[in-house]
Amino acid sequence: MTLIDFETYRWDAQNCVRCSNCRWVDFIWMASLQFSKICPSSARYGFDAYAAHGRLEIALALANGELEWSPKVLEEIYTCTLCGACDVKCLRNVGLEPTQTLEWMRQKAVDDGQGPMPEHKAVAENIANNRNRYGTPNDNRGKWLRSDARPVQKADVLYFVGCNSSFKQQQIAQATAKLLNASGTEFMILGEQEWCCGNQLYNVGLVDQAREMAEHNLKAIEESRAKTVVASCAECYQTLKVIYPKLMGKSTTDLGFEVLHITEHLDQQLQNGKLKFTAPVNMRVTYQDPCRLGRMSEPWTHWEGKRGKYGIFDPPKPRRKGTYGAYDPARNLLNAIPGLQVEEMERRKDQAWCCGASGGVRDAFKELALWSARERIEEAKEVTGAEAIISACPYCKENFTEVITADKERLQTLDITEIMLQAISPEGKEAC
Amino acid sequence: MQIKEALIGIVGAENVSDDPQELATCSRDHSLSPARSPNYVARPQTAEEILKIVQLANETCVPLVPSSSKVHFNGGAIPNLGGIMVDLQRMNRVLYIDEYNRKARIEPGVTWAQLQKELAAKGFMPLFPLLPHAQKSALTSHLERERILIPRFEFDEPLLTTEVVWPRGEIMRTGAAIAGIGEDTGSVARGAFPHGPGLDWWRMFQGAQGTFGILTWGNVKIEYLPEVNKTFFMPFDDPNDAIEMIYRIGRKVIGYELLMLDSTNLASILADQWPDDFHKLKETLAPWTVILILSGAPILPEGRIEYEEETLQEIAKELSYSDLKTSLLGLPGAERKVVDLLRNAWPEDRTYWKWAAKGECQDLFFITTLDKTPMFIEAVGSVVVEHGYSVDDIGYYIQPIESSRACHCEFNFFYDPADPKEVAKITELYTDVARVALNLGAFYSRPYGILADMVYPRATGYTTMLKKTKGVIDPQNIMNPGRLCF
Amino acid sequence: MAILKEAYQALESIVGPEFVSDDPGIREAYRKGGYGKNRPALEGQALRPGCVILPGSTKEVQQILKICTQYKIPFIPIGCFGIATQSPKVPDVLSIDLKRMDYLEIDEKNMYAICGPGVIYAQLQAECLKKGLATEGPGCGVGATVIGNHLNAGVGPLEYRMGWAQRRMLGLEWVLPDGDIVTLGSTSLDDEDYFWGEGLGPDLRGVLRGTFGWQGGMGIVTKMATKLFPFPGQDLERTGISPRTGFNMPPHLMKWLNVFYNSIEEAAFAMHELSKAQVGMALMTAPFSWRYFSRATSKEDFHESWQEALPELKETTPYMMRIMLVGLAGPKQLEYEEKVVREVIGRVGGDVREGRPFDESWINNADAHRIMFPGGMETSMKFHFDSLDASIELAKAAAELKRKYTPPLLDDYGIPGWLQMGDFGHVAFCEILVYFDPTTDPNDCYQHEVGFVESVRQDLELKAYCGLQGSYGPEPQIIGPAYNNYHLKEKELQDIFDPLHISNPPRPLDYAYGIDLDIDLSPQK
Repeated sequence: MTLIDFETYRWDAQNCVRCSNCRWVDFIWMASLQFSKICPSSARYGFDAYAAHGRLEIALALANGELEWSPKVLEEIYTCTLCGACDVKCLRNVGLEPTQTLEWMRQKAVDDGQGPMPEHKAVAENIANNRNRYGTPNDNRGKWLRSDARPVQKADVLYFVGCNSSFKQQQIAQATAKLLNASGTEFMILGEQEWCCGNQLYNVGLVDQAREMAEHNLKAIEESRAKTVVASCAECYQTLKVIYPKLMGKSTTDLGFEVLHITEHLDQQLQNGKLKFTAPVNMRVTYQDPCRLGRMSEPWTHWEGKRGKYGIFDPPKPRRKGTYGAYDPARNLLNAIPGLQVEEMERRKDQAWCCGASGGVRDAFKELALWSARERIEEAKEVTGAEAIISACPYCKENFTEVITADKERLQTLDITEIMLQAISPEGKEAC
Repeated sequence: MQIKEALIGIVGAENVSDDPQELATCSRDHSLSPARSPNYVARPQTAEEILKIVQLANETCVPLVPSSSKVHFNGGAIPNLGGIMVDLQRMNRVLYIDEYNRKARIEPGVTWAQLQKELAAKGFMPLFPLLPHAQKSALTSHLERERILIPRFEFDEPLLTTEVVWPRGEIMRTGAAIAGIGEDTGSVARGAFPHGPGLDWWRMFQGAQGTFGILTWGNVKIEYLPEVNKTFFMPFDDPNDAIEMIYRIGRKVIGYELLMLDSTNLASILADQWPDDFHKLKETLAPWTVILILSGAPILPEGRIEYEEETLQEIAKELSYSDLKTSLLGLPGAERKVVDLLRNAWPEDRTYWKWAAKGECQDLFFITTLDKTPMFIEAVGSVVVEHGYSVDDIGYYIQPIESSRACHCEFNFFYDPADPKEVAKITELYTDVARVALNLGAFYSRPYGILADMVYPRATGYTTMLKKTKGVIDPQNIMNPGRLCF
Repeated sequence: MAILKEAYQALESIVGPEFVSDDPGIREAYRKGGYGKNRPALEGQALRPGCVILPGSTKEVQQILKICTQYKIPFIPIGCFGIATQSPKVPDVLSIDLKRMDYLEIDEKNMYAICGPGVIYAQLQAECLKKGLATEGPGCGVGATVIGNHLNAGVGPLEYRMGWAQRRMLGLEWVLPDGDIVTLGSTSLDDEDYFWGEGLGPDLRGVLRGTFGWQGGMGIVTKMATKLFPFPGQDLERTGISPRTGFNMPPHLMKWLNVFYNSIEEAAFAMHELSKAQVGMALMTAPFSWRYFSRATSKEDFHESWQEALPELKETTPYMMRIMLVGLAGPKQLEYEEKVVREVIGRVGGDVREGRPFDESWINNADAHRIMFPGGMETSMKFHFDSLDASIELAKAAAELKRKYTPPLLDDYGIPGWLQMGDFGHVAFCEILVYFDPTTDPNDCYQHEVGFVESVRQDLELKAYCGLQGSYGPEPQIIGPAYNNYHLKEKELQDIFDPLHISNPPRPLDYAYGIDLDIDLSPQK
């Protein structure tokens, strides 16, 4: 059974007016021909089947039994990064929520025994066997810890580290821990009791497996008695805040704890005067809004009801339009760093271009993921003349890094925690 | 004889002629085009009469050449292959002045002088090209896309809707007029919107020199006649500087009439007594003069002139230009005179301004962008000198279009029609200049006479499509055959 | 796959395997076009194309059309797929998606832009505003392609100053259905020169479009120049997060003034008087319903607030005349024009209120599709192009007719549409809009169609200019015969330039219109 009931969203698929807004940057914010697109898969492949409006038609045909599964249809569905840009655009004007249908298609593919893609299955297997997406023993999850990072046994704040920073880009976890310390935040970690958040499992349609992760992690968090869970990974953050309540049939507000991204938490500490940046970082940078920290991070509100004439939800269903994404905390932090020049790219905040890594794309469609990252790097260079592109999600950084290395770009990429670390201590520079 | 009798049956004997003298008059105009007489002249007065003439032509395969004006300048109404000249001068009514929608429904025989007079009585003015001959058909000017003097109107085209006798023998209106014209006829339609029905048939009649059909009337835009005006003369030595001024004025969208003339043409226009005034003026005038008339709207007219003048001063300052003038040295009252001249046809009691110098004038004009005009001026000047003329012997007129986005570029070659040698010489010069300009990118949007022979072979795609389209509209090619590429 | 393997291979050799596909999923995404008059009628009719291709150049388009001619493959050119007329109505169509052809070049000095068929208005406007220029974002929104929209509609508020789309078309390159290329205007003589639209001699733009054009029924325009206009776009400030994004208008250069009336006649009179004064950049009356869905946060929000407001709106019938003032010549022009507006309104009456110095709808029409909030589908019961006085008369009659079909059409009051002037008041446009749900109840769709045909008859009875030409209305059945059978001339041209009838058949002359719905199509009822 799919988590999402297509019949609730059939009206959307039927009434898409093919305005193509879902493919473009908000028309007000569109500032050039070159950086005017917002949907990576549509921009890369061209055919409408790779844009939300075309995928809605495919969904309708699948639901009506007019289209059969094929490797190509799976590709059309799974090349979407589920970055949420189409939702933001469509909800702005037409009032439809294409992402619900995009997620439903993946769930249906799994239900029908067709999905996900083989690469996703491999990741899912790793998670099933080892509770992390890399297939290494989960006992090693806490090994990123260094002596200069000081978690405590019990604290109100729980740092949910995530697979990537635990196993691959450990410097992000280390920087996060130091920043928490520097801001006077006592924090604990779950260690091996932290399982993969399951973001990718959910995104590729493996609902049951994702729910298993949710149940475990929620239980672990509950047992930790944390009041606030801080994530340095945008995917973990969105999973905890949005996907878990969705999977559990509840609202974010019913989770029993607050979910914050590290940028949100440190911004609070900055405003409270508990975090100070004293070491100048003389660099010109630009900031990449991670999709799952930005437009996709609004809280989830559980809704049950029916859909009537004119597509009206009864009772009214709260829409997540990307308006209240966490756009400003990262900017506040970066702007507080002495010497740092922060320049905006044309596509920013709710209109940011996805780095291409998410939604399972980096695993199954590497070429698309890197193409998308390359597009963003071009924008960073051309529009802002930046020396570094800063993100707040390890997957963005990982994806950018691969392109920068391959293309021998002079541009650097850093996680926001890494540059903040430089600003609190000169040693931070060396650490990065 | 059968044709003549049939024509008499349609329009009456007094309106049909095959008198050789009259036919000879129709055989030539004020251009260098070779003469050719029609076989008959018929002067219909109604659309129905025209329709019958068209039906007759189809039955007998006799060419028809529509003619609306008493004077012609470009050879478009010379019957290349003979036939019946359909003289529309008797259709000379201003049928309706629609004050609410600022349009007038006029017949083809309505002259510029007549239209101006009738509109002025109601506080309106037509959208004039530069000083048209008083006897020239206003509707034909608009149909042939003669450029208007006011580039402020980005929408540019004065012609709205039409009634046309189609070559296959039917009367059909274009645009909203197909539904009705208002005017107490009981239709909601007022005949204002030019496009459709279906396709833009009206566009095919434009610039067609009578090859696609015969208009029986047209609705044309008119404007309020401004009561408050202020004229500026901007003298320049270098056309590049003048052009920059025109670009800047266009970008700010100020003023009404805006044009650029050389000293020869401006002197020709302003001279009251020939040749003395002309020579005096030519000596005193700068090589180039940009004329801008600021005009008030019907409401708070002074306020508009005030901000537009300030804007003009700012532009002048930006360009370090210190010669903005509201009068012309040695010509008191020129500022008012220019307004009167540009909002009227050329006075009927005076020799037409283009003929004053030598008796006749051949115009070469094309559409281009303003930045290219200095190049054309230089190139044409070189050809003129090569042919033994002085650049002072020719006139120049630059008319910005649509906020100075493009321009009409015109060269006037004055000559004595009584001197066959000079006619031959000027013909040669005109041909050479036309070719040189074409090679430099001149766009002859209205290719008269030899220009058609130059451009159509170069535009094979357009020419093929045009011929096929003509084949649908006029399958027997009865309308002005031998013209353009037909 | 119904397209012959041989033909498919030929297509593949033109664009490469990456840009052509007969995969069912790819094709499915090209089944149903967007909005436009006959979307509802297409609900059950639109077919999946046989193949989809994405050319990247004029040369490729030309070769594709030659293949289509050789194998008699019907084809449909697609810009953004914003209108229903690009949905396949015959089997085994080749859908030619032109989005890769997004060439754009602006001649700043001479104020025109050369566009490929993949360029949308928003892209063009973005580039123009940087240079102190503007194009006109059409009423259907700036997601429309510049070329597709110029060839089909192109109606927007700035036409008051900028003229109609038909006239904004300059030099262009056009691949005819058989693959031959024709260039129009200045481009006819010089492939590189796009600055001018007319000629040589007779203007073949007349064959390219009229009221609504061919809707893909006459080949593919692969490049077109469009006029641009001076506009102080550099001074606009982008602001906001979705869904509330817009331009902060520089107060010294731009201003909205809204004037309120209780009858359309009063509002129209004010519009007329203002047009005499030649002030403003846009001049229109906009229906109040637009305010409601523009401010709504969701469908539910709209319906709740609309239903609450409607009784009073019906009682008081408020109309809002809007005028956008722009100091093209600088702040002094703005001051002057505001003075004129206040002077005119002082004379003719009306309640002037300064609008918010903010725009999301007219300079770069970003919220056009919020028009779908009320129903799910918006169509135009009337497209009326003529004069202001004609528009008022017809709009009143149309409003009465609309009430007859309400419900299922969404309830409204007064004149449920917008009126706007063109060419400083010489012409005017009126559109009567209807909103309904095309999918929940099939009878709603049917009733909409019946009402629509009735509206065409109404135009003819009143001798008003019926603008619902082309595939937007029953052209060969009712409109053509009433207007000198102009459609037969169009057909003759079609027979010459597309003898195989492969360019988006059966458009624009759909002889089968309404048959499936069993609608009475007799000219008079």
